[in-house]
Amino acid sequence: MLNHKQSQFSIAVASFAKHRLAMVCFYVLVALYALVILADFIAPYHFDQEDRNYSYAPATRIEFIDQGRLVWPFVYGQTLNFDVNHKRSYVVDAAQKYSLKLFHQGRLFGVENPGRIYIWGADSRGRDMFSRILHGGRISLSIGLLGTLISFSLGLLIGGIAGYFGGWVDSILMRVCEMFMLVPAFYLMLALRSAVPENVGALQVYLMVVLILALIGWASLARIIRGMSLSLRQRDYVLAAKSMGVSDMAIIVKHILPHTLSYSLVAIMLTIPSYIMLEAGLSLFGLGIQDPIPSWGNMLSDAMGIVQIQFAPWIMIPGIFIFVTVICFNVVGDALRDAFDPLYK
Amino acid sequence: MKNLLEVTNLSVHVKGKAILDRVSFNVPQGKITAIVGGSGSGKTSIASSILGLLPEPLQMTQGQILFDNKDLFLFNQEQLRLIRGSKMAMVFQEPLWAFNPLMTIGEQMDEVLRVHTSLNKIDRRHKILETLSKVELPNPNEIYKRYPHQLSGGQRQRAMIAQAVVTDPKLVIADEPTSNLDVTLQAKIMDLFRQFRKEGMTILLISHDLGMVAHLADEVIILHKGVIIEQGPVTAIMQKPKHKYTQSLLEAFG
Repeated sequence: MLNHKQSQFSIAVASFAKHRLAMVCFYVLVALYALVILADFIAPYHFDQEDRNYSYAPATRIEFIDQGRLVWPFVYGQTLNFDVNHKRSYVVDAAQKYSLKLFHQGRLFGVENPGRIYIWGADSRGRDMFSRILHGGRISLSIGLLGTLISFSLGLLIGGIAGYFGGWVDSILMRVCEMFMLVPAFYLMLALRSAVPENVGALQVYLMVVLILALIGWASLARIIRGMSLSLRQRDYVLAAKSMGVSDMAIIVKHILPHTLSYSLVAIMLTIPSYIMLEAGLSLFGLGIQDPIPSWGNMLSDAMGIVQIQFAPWIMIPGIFIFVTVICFNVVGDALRDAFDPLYK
Repeated sequence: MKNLLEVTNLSVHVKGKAILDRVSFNVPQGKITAIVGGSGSGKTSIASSILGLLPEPLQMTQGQILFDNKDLFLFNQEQLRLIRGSKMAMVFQEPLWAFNPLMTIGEQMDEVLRVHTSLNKIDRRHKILETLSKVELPNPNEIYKRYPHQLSGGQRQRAMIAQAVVTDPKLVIADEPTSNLDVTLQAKIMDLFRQFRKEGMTILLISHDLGMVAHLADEVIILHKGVIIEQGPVTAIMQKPKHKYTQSLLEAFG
């Protein structure tokens, strides 16, 4: 017997769960978000805690054996030397030993001052890459979500209104959409950024980037939702709701937009990574989030010189994070699309 | 006898072609009036015109509709919206499509009450359960939580009727309310309409089924190709049809 309790949504979720790779990617994303939410606890340092004596210091080796005996893990201090060509090199100073401490000063792990632990090396100003990546993830991962949230609210509402009312409302709204779609996204982003003063606070910059991303993406979604709502408004239950005196806005929000959910959910999953990339691009050019506040994009701007990459390849790690996040979102989005597509079953 | 609805010279055109041509009829208060006609006779356009919901290419070109002695054309869209669902309501032919599949029966009835009454949540729920049991749905509490596809065809039609009458409208327009039901269910739904008539509700029944109309209606209007060819009390028309088309309709039902 057909199980009436099983909705289209739960069928799609079950079919998604069968997609092995997508489940892995989904858990990777969950782990990434958990990591950045807990950044204050997991990261050993504040994102702006610098130590110029450790500029571009390589990853600190964690030692387990001291004088032939297995001991509690510890790290050696390092001293900075310049060779004849003024090239930096760090020399392990066996005289300084700092044992690793768990739950150190309210953080997961750390070492006593003046020791330093850089599990993924340090950047030009001796700031811990690991701590900065976690804190930067807060910006990069949340900007994608927030931007998508705003642009989808806008796109759904405007698309819904245009499709439902049709006529001149539709014409005007769609021409506005086309104005936004006319300009290539990256140039539109640069233009919008240049319209805002540059000397504003960190929070304002953050909100501004969110807003810019939202303004870029809503138009294409609005066009698709408009098409769907154009056909959904012909449904009998919309006519029935009208005959009951339900207001137009209530009909759009409750009787039309929920029926676009399976499409919008997939579109959301595929839009988030593109926003993460756009934010990274903006910050890479120094137009988005400003140093000292880290984002994966502006951390990568450190890695734009060949010399730095040669000498300190670990400054490219934020790129790996962007890459993994974007890939995971895309795989999950693709799997969701297959799961919601009845022809795939 | 007082007329709840008076339609005078109603004409509806689409691109110059007449769908309804100067249709005039009255719907007396507290009676069941049936509009009978074949496919494409313009039955549904009459209902849409009364509700003010003619679909896009159709246009009302002339006429007057008096509802409760008020000219509906003098109302603006917002006033019309508040009349729809509270003073007049519609029962649709196929309740599976007339319910939003993503909302429970209870939620959809609640939406109507929220628009038209100032009752609080508990009173609204009480009213809905009361209406559901009035249309003889078993276990209203269970039905309230169900989605449309979880009900049987007969249950859905009753729920649809319940949604229409939950606000105690003066006029219920029923568009082929029984066409998709089997004969025993049809009889039960007809009983329900008789019950409503007894309670003083006015019903405008739209149907192609002259057999059902003969059993249920008080007044009959025969519509053919957008023109009223005959109208009067149901007994008179059944016994002495004047028009050839009515005769052929009657012959079709034996």
